[in-house]
Amino acid sequence: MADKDTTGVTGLAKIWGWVEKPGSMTVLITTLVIACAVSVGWDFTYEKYGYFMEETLIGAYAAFGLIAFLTVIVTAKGWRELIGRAEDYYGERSVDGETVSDETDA
Amino acid sequence: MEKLYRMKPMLELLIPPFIFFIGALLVPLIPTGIARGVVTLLVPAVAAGVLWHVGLGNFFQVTFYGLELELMRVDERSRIFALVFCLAAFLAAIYAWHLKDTIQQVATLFYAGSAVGAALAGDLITFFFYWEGTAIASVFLIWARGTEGAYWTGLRYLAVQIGSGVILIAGVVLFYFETGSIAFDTMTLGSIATWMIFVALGIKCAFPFFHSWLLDSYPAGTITGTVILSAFTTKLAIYALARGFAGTELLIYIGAIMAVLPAFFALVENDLRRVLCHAVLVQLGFMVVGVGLGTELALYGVAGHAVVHILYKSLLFMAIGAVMFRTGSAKATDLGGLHRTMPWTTLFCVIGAISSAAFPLFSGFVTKTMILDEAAKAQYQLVWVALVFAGAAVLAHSGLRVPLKAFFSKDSGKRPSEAPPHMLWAMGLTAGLCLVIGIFPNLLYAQISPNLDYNAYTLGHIVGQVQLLLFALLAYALFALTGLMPEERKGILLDFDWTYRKLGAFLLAKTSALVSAVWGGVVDFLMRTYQNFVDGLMHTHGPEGRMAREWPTGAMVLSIALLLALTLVVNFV
Repeated sequence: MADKDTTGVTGLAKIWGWVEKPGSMTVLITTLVIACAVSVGWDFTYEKYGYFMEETLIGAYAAFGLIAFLTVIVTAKGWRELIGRAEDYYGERSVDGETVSDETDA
Repeated sequence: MEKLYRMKPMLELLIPPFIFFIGALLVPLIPTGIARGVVTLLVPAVAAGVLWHVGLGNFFQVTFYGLELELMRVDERSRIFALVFCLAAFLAAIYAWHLKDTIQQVATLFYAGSAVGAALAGDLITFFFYWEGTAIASVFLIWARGTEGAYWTGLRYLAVQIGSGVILIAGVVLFYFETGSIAFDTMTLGSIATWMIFVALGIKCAFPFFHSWLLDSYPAGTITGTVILSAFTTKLAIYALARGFAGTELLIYIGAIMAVLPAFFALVENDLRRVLCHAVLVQLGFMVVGVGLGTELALYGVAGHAVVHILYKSLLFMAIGAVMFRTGSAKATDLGGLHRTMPWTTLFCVIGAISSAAFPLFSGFVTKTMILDEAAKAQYQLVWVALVFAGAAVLAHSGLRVPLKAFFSKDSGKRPSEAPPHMLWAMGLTAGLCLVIGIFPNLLYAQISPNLDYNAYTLGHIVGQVQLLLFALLAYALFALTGLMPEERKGILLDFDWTYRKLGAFLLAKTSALVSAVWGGVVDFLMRTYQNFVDGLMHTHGPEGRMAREWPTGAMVLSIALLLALTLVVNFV
């Protein structure tokens, strides 16, 4: 398995590797949910002001973040079906269908 | 005192862009290796030093064929752009330390020098020459890739860039006839001249429908070339708009569209360098809105955002470039799990990504809020909504998708080496700047203007932005866990360039066929008419024609007798 390959793995790589350990995702999601709740709760602790009424609502930006993301994902999925094409669509006059460039050391 | 008094005129003799040009001419004469690398580093450093020391003012004013040229106007607005161009060239030189390609090194110095020169130009003619310089020099960073696709992409890029220059010079000439001035100062949209200048700047600024050149060409550049391309052209256009069209309301709406639309492409684009190009468009949108608002704080925000954007976007292009350097690909479908062997590149990419998402304590936050505040203050509610939406969407593509798909996500099985040390140094320095600016924004504000007094870290800003990003992150996590995120798929996305690459080519072919058919018909008709005429002549005058027939003598006598009889009759009537 690729994740058992520790050849050349540095300390920093081990820190990143934590993300892929079993249970890490649960910890991350739980932390995220708590952070989200705290950020909305934070809204109750100070007097909100803004140039528009929407800005002053509790959790306004939270709703904005969710709605924006939902819109982007749903639209982008459908959008791709409409405008997605094969890599070689433009033929030799585009770099998209080309293989590895000479300048890499791959 | 006397010594100091002598130093300044000497420094004034060195126009920063000319330092770049001299460096570019010297580079081919120096053997590849450390010496050449040092020159590419020294040139932007010396140029920045000169720029810093000469202070503010107008230098090198010359009269040329009756035109008053200002070759070097250093004011608050031009200096910050010229300085960040020098900084970007310096960081790119570190990143490109391994490069032995003379063409790319020379092109980079000419390109950066032209961008610095254009930012410092005090008149439209000088600006035009440097503007064209950026176009011509930069195309070599695409052609240097050396493939057929890069060659054609470079041609398309050059056509657009030169086209912009032609429109610009036509506008400048008309503007001169209209006003008698070529000074590069604030203009008002209204005449054909100002519209032409506006469109020329808009093309390079990648306005909607003019933006395809950016998505087409930047991913086609070389690994180092794309890092360099991302820093100069569009930000120079932003500077030019801020110089010429600050306060033009139309820009507010153009900018809002620019900020929103790319999100729908970037989330399903496979080429991660092109994803970053979409993110460039978003940030340009923010800056264009700021220019359109035209208030003092909005313009400071534009300058500041240009600086931080050059830094974090360069950092992201560097990180994906390093991945491409090691793996040969920048496509999401080919990558994943690279954090195992490229941990430092991963770290720097994450810092760039968080900065681009404008998380507090990272550079994007301290400038984006200025533009958002000014949009809200001016009561452009829909525009403000569009910018907040764009801010959340940025997290989706360049903030999350780029680092996740390259370094985490599904393991591609690739185990490339870490990026070379010089690339890590370049990324490390750039990442450090992103953090320093984010934590100590006053350091940046002081460079923009001593009059800039702004506090990005109000409670409202922090909580609002944290909420926005955390909930966007939560939505991403929920979509990813439930498998509803769009899966990675090989392929490209059609964009507006389809209209001239496919539809235009199709229409041209059809028009050509139609013209050929019509022309063929006309020629055929003329030939047939001519042939009929010739046949007619042959019929009467040819060897077998009536006129060539031999007549007997009696017939002639009879004819004369008839003619005489006719004359007789006429006489008696």
